[in-house]
Amino acid sequence: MSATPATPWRFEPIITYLALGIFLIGALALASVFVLASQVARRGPTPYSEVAGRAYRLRLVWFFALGGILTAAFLTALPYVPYAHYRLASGPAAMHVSVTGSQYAWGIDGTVTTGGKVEFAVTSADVNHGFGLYDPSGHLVGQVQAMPGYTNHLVMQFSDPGAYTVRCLEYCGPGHSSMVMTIHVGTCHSGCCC
Amino acid sequence: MSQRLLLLRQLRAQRITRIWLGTSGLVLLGLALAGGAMRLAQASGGSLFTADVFYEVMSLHGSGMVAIPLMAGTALLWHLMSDVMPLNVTVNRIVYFLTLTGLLVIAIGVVVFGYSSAWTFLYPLPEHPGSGATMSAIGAACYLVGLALAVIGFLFWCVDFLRAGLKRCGSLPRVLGFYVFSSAGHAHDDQDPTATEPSLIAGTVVAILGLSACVIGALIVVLMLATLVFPSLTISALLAKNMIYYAGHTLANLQIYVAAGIAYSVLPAYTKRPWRLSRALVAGWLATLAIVMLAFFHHLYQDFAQPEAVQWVGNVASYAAAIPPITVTIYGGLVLVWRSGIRWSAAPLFTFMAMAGWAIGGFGAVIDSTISLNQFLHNTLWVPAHFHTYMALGVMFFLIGATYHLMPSLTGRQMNERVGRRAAALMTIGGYGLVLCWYISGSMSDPRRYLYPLSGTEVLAWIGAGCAVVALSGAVMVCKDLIEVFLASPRINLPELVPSEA
Repeated sequence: MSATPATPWRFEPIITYLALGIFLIGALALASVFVLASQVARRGPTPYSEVAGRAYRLRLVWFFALGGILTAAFLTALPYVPYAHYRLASGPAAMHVSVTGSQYAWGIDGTVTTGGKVEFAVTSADVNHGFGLYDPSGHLVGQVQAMPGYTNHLVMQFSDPGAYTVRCLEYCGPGHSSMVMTIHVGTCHSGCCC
Repeated sequence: MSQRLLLLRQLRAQRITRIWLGTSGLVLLGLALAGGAMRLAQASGGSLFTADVFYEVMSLHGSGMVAIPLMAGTALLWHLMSDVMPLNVTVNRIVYFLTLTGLLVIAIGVVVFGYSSAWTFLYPLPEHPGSGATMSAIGAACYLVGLALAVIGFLFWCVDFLRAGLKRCGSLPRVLGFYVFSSAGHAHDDQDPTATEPSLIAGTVVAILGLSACVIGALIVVLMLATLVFPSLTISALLAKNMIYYAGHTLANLQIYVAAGIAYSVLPAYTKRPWRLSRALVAGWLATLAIVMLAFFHHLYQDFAQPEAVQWVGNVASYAAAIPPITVTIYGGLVLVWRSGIRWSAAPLFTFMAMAGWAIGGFGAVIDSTISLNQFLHNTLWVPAHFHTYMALGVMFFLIGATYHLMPSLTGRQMNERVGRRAAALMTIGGYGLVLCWYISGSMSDPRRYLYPLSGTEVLAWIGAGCAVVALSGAVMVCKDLIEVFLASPRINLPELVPSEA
């Protein structure tokens, strides 16, 4: 895999699979509630005041539980935000790469190696594009929008050398799917950029 | 108003709702079939359509699926509320005319002039980045004019709904149910004809949010039209994106809130229990009113040039937006059916399953709205996965449920219950199969709006396309039944039916 866990913002494919796992467990739990409710609904009729009184007391518990879960999720995810100044807090970038998207090609100027931080300065010459960086095994390891008139800075750090693929991730016209380029990440030799 | 005029108004209201239902049913089926064709084309690796055709179909499908379910929902809510507040039939007709004309102009822009810049129409338009009166400029102009017409149509609906609500209740705080927070108001206002009700609160929140979205949406459309006419004029791409997503996200989101307003009226008819006004319900809708205005920022997480503070606002608002539905409307729906002795006919079945789609799709959306995860999920197939869960398996199910509920009063004929239950099964199995393939592909980094699946997700693309066919077969069954009921219902001649008072 491309990334090492030395800093908290590095990508591991486990992140998206974890998201999928959490989603599937949650979706299954919600579906179970609805299936159960649909079966219990056939029973009765029980006076509504009897059902509602108990249910609305329980709702308060549900409200605070949900609030607590969302707050915990927010705080857990907090250190992993992708914005440049968080990723540069531990030190400046060793490599600078300028990226310009245009229909339907990438102009990439700079050299990338493993080890040090790489700062991609991403913009567009025409319409909106999305700079999506895929590792050699095909996982999206980072992205930022390429917008005309603005430069977005994406900071990455590569642990594995190899052929990384840049794909456009913002619809930019009929040639969108073909806006693909390869970046070769070289190996850092001692002292070059780490 | 005399009895004759009242009856005449009622019949006219029924007629315009029938027209809305028939039209939106057929258009939605067409758009859904177009979506299914896109799935097949994508699974085939782009061999079914050329890139031009694929993105034209995508633009039509996306634009139609934002506009039509919203307008169909507002038409159904309008009908449900037309007996209890003085909504204007003529305004509804104008809304219908503007919406349909707008969509027709959009379709001309796409089909004749090849507009293919997606429903998000980000500035500068991908299909017309330069200048000059080319085919693409005419296509873009058609798209923007059509969009403006549809937006103006919705604006009329919002204004009329607010006017009628104010006429019924007297003031906006009263329409929104503020009085439940005073002990006297909460205890006595159920019997008061000027009291509000859950569907009215939902519709009013939709109308207020809709007004703001229409104004911002109309403004950016006019600005972009101006850049077509005066190519030297430029606008900030970031500002344009914020405006487009404020309007687009809000309008797309309002679909589910309109649908909730409909559910407040539909579900109690089958559980024989009232959906009461409560402090939690009012507080939930007031919170929704504020939160929805701020949640759209999550569309711009990957625009690092955006001020960081608003990114955090987007994250917090997107999380907070989940709380009112899941603790008020969806929870309230579950309580309403619990031990009610309900018979699961098609109308409550679709409505109940719509709530499940809303809850599950909302959960997928909350995951995507986490800034750190969005870095790896944004513009992957996770995005269509979650919004199809709460739109196709949420909004559409609400609309179909309401259609089954209203058809007897609108046409004098009932839709086929057996067809409805079979269609529900097909749409549920096919629909969840389709979105599950997307969730998995999204977690594998497969981009959305791509002509072909990435290596390793081809099988999922084919399974998803197969599931789409299953879901669409259910949709075709419902539409076929809808048409048969319309054709079999007696034609109503208003002047003959309503005798003169003399």
